[in-house]
Amino acid sequence: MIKKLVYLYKLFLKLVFCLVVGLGAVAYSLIVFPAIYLLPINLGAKQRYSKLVIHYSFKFALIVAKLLRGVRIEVTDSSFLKQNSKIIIANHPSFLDVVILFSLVKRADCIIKKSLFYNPLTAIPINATGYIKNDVLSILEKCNKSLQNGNSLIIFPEGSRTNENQGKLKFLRGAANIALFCKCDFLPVVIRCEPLFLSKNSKWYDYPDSIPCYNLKVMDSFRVDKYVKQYGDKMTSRELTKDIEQMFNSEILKASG
Amino acid sequence: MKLNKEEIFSEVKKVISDLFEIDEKDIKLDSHLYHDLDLDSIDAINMMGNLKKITNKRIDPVEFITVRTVDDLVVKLQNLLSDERQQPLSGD
Repeated sequence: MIKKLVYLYKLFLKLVFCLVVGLGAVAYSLIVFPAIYLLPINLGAKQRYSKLVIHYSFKFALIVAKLLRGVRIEVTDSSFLKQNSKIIIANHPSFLDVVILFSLVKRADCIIKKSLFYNPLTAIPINATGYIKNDVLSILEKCNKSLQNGNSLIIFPEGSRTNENQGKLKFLRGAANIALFCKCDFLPVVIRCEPLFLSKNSKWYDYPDSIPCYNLKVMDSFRVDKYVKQYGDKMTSRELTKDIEQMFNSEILKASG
Repeated sequence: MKLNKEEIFSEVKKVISDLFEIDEKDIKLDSHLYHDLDLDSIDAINMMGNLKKITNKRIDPVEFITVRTVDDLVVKLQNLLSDERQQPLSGD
């Protein structure tokens, strides 16, 4: 009986949280971002401030979530994340990975799927922040420009959330292609979520019995210069992808062992 | 520079094989670039740069968005080569 009540309370909290986020998105779209865009500053500055709004909002949201004992978050070596102009790659077990990473990285940029630029709930924030559209014709140049401006690029090499039934992680080659084109090192972040929460295969109303604990291990730079040297003669993106995939899989195995 | 289909196919096989380390004998005209040869959209764009060497003409990536199989690619290149109105590259 108590267990049922606790479950209902947590579900209620989750619904309240979703409502607040939804209303927040509308308020930001109608008030905050237009206000930034009315300021007499250039477009670059407007986009920078919009990105900072996201960073501090996500940070605040997670502080509240932690206070309400909805989640626990532990980050090791977060100081590595203070470096600018890196490509931050992470595995993607849960929906909250995005929120956590953006709350930790002040100048974060990322690649967003095309459809979200036109979705009524997300269109205004995404256009305001100047996040990169997933359009194959312009994506490499845009990533390069963003890194040169001092942003760090957050990329999930899996492309979408991990399918926990598939065993090992399977990385797509996008992150490697971008790193090679931009000649930029990786900053790997290994994310674990126990018990698993908001994963690809779970329903939105699922809530684990104990508080989900997120553990983020930030690793030191993964250098790409030896792959860049060969690039052009052959597409070393396959090799680079295989190597980072292997590194993540062995880190996850080590952590769960 | 006029090439027949067979010659274009041979050049395309060479480019794909060199760039992506795929065995030339695994590349057939009906091979699907994405499903059979495991290329992705960025690979396709990267390939355009190398294909410029075959046609000696500027390749507009937009032209190739509908290309799915090796045959599609070869036909597109053939059309490009036989298009008299296209300006050849000069000293690129």
